[in-house]
Amino acid sequence: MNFSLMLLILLSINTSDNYIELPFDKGDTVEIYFNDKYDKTLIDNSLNIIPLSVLRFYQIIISPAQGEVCNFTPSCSNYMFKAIRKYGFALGFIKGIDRLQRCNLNARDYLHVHYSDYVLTKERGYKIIDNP
Amino acid sequence: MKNKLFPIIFLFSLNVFAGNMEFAQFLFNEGDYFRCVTELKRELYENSSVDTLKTVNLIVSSYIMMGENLKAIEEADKFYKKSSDIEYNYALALFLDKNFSKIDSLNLSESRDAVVFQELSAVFQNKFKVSDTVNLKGELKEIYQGYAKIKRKNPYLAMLISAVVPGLGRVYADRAGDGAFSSLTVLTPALIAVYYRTISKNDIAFYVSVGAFGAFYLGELYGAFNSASIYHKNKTEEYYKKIIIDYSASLFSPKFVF
Repeated sequence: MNFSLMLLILLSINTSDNYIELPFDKGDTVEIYFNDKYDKTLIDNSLNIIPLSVLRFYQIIISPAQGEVCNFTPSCSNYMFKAIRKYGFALGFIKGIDRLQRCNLNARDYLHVHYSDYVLTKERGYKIIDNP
Repeated sequence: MKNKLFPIIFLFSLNVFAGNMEFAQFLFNEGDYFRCVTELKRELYENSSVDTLKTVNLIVSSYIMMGENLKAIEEADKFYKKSSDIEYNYALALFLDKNFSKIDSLNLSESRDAVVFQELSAVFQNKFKVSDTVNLKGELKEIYQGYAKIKRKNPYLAMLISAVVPGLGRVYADRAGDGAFSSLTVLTPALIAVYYRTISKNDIAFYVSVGAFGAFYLGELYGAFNSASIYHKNKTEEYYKKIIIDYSASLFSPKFVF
């Protein structure tokens, strides 16, 4: 099962249009690589390094296959990453799950109702700003 | 002939506006507030006999019309005690900048127009008592009545509802779309878990789906609690933006005289 899952991931990456540009042309991922202020080193004294590494693996290997699909900025994975760094694993993870549930077809309808700010982007027109 | 006429016409064209103030007024009426500020500042710099308070008030008004509230506040900060118009515009800029604490700290006599913004800031900080509404006049009373209609949602009730029926807590917090989607995210792994337990008999897949169900269930509880607790704040924010547009011609337009 693991082998078939890995094969599926590799196939999805290779069949994606974005695979040549991966992972540098991926919205928030650009920030990870080129922004000096962004924490690249993952130096963390707690066990948080395990979920954070899993998230980073997702961001670099899996996420580029699906392109820019998130309605928010920072994207859901970055939101969970920041939330875990800020609030610890338990609350950060739950906040991240909540964000995944909020990132649906109706998210844009709630702009100016439940969300106030947005930023214009090339890929999706605009994204809602929602920080942890 | 044309070559001789051109410099004459050019020289006449320089005298179309007699002074900087007229040109500033023209620019203001045209909506070119940025250049209007430049002309007004030029007038302040060049002309020693200019009415300083009036010109500063015009600069402040231009900044407010441009949406540059911080610049308007900075400009009006030194002069607001000397002129009632500047005081009104100063309080307006502070209100548009949501600097409610600064508005409260201003010492205004009740006869001044700027008191309106102190009352408005009290409304939006929820400091207003129902007994005070008797003294309110027309527009302020309307604004307060609109504000009083914004309900509060109980976050613990929302969490309880979501615990019983996943997704319904978010519906209670006026997020029906989120509620529908999150109920799907909770129920899908639950159904998958039931399938692997009863029909397929796959223990690993069962525990994975139970884990997913638990994670999404916790997220749903937190989401219902959070969306209910920020409901009033978000609706107040929305109402704040609405009244600024609705009363832009009367209450939220700067006072100035050219």
